[in-house]
Amino acid sequence: MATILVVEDERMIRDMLLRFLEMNGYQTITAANGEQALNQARSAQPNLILMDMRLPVIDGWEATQQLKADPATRAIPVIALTAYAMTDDREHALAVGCDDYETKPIQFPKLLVKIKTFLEQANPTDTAS
Amino acid sequence: MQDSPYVLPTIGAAVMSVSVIILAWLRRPAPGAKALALLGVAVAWWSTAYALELAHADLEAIKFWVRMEYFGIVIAPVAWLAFAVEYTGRNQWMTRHMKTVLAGVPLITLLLVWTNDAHGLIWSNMDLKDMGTFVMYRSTYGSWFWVHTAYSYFGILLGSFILLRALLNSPDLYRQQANLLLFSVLTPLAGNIMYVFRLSPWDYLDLTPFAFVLSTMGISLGFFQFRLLDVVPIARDLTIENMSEGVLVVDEQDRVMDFNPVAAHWLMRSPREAIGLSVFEVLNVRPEIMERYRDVTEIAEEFSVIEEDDGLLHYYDLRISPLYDRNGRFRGRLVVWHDITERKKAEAALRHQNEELNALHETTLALLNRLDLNSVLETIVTRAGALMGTSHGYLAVVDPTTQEIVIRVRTGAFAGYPEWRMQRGEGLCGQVWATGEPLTIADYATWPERYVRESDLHAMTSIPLRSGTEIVGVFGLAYAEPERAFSPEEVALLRRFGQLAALALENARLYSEAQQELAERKRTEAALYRAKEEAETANRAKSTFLANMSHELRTPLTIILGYSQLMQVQARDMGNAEFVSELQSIAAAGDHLLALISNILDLSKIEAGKMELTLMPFDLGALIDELVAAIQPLIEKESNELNVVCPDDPGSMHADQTKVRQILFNLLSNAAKFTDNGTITLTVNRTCHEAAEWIHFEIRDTGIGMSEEQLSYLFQEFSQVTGSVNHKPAGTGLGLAISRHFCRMMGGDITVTSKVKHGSTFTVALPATVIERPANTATPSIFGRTEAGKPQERNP
Repeated sequence: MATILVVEDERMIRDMLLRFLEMNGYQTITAANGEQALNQARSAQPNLILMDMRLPVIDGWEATQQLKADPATRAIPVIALTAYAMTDDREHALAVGCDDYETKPIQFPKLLVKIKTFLEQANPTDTAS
Repeated sequence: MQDSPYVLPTIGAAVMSVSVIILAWLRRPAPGAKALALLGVAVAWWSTAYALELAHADLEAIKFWVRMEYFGIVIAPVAWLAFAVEYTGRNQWMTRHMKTVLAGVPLITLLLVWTNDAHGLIWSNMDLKDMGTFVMYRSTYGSWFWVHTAYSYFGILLGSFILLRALLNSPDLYRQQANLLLFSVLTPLAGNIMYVFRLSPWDYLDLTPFAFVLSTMGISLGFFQFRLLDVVPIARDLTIENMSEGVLVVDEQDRVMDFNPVAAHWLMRSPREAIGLSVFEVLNVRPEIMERYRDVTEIAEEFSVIEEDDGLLHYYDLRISPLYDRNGRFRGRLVVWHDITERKKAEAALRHQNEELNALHETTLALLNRLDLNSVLETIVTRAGALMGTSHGYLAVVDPTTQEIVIRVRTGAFAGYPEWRMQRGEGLCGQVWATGEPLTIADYATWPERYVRESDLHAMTSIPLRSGTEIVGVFGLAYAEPERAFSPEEVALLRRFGQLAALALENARLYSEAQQELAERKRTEAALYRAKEEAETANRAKSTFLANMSHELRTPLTIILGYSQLMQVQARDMGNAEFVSELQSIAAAGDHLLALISNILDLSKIEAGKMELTLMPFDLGALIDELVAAIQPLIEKESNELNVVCPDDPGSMHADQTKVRQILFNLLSNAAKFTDNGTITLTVNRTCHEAAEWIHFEIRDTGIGMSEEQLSYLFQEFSQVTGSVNHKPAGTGLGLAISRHFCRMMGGDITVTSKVKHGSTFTVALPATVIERPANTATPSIFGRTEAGKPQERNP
């Protein structure tokens, strides 16, 4: 069973994402800021990270940059969650090494397709249920 | 006629004489020049007539010409004498009486010559002497001839004597002139004597005219060589006679030897009675000279004395010099004195003028040095006072606010006066202000209209200070001494000081005005700066607010929309169709809200000039396909049909793809909303205009259309056309405004035509290749201000 790290400072959105992921059969761990995200990623080695960009302590771009710079976490796919209208945020996210992005408000069906795709690419044998 | 060898030399003599006439006439202002010219005329006449005499062989003709000669012959000696007298400066001899006497004998001679046939007093036995090839006239002289000859010789000799004497007395400088003159005159005399007394080697030829040739040549030489008549010796005694100085010569025993008329006048004695007297006796009437004479043998000094005849003070320059003879022996003293009162007066006037200029200059400097106004005005009053020799002065300035004239500077006795403020017309100051003319009061202390009752000041003058036509102040001086008065010249001079004072006041006024203006401008600038700062702060606050708001709105919206999706999945799983539809309504409302927020954010970006274009090439066909797919659900919602008219390969475009998509999606969804059971046609084509390629997108619907009025505010923010097909809120009201902004950002535009119930046609024209333009500078605000007017027509 794949584990997905959800990095989101807004509790209600984080809870919603957890519910969506659990509904679709994924294990979840959470982080409320960039620093926690780095710690979680290194210790728990999740299969995928959903990363909000505007975060306290260390923001999403910085955290992603560090993850991608660290050989231990480099392989973990990161999907950035950015505000709909913030085109700059999106481009910035791709520039720092995010593998893809989704905009908020979240189109769950679309996000689900992306998650599945990344997990299959990473581990073709171990597909999610 | 005959051919006499003597004719030519005689003509030569005549010509020479004519040249003398011309040369002398050109110098006619010189003494003796006119007499010399007359002499020339006489000789020329004589020679010419003689030449004609010699040329004739007929006795009667010869007799005629001989008589003609005498006009010249009688004049020549007299003219010579006149020349000698005038040349040596003895004009006083040539009185009218003397001239008549001198003319007497020549006139009688002339008369007798022409009447000789009757009496023979001049000639007898006139006949012709045969000389071989020619004849010559000869005669025996009558008694008057000898009178005439004696007279002529007398004239010539006297003239020669006078010249000789001048020659002996003249300084070396003139000696050559005199020598020449003497030679010139003695030659004709010799010639004449030889002829008359038959001593000539040439019988019967009168040598006198030839001698005159020599003499005229000599004189001509004198003209050129020795500047004869240009420089004329003047007798020394004449010089002393005519000097304006008093001259007194005293011998070693202090006896008066000589003095000139000026000295005679001063000493009140005639030379006749004074010469030989003791100088002390003579100088009795001039004690001021005598006391100086007593002490020294040599002196040069000035003294002044009040002359009794005019009662005025006169200045004299006195010089006493010792006289020595050739052996260095003291022979006496020369006393010379001279009235220099006029010169002294001129000097004093010049000095005063210099002082005036100096005072004006100093006040001008004070003016230029930008001292404060009070010290400039004080300088003007004190300098003007110093020049007039008074310390009492004042200067008052008109106060335009109270319409009073207020004392500003007070010196001398004025300082003791109360500080005054006067009305127009009040007192001396107020009167000058009222009339604008200088006013001088002879005695202020008793002047009935005086402002200061108890005054020690007498003559007082006041000058208006004029700036343009306006009187800005009054300036005055006064004398404490009752006998002093202000002359018109002094008043005129004070006016000049007044001009400077007025200038100072005007400068001060302009300066303070400039200062005020500057302060005003600074205040305005500061206010503008503050306003700008406030506006910028407000703008920043607004942008921050909008960004925060959109974020704050988006977060709950994300949750609402997210859960509505998740719950729809669950409701469907549970088979609860009612929930699904209700959750769809929540989602639709949320989507609308989201669109609104996004549009507001877009507009705030446009307005802030922060909306940027992301230009890249993209395939137009792919964009259209994508759009059609995305819009299809909306089209079908109101049972409409979508027609796409597009070339098989519409090619590519270089623009901001997201914005092009947003524009077209917006227009298509609008068309769908306002059309029911109709057709929506999207036409795409490329055109060329002004060497540039354009892409035209035309969105035509068969819907409800719009009225003129609706069209007029169609592109304005927050304007919504009511009455969409399903009567629901039709949109955010921002879509068209944003679309048009985007079009214009890319160098294109949107135009629209519509008719109520006949549908609408929106045309988007965009350059096929959009060029990056400088950051959007002036985008009208959607908040508070709105862009007025119709959309800009841009339809290539």
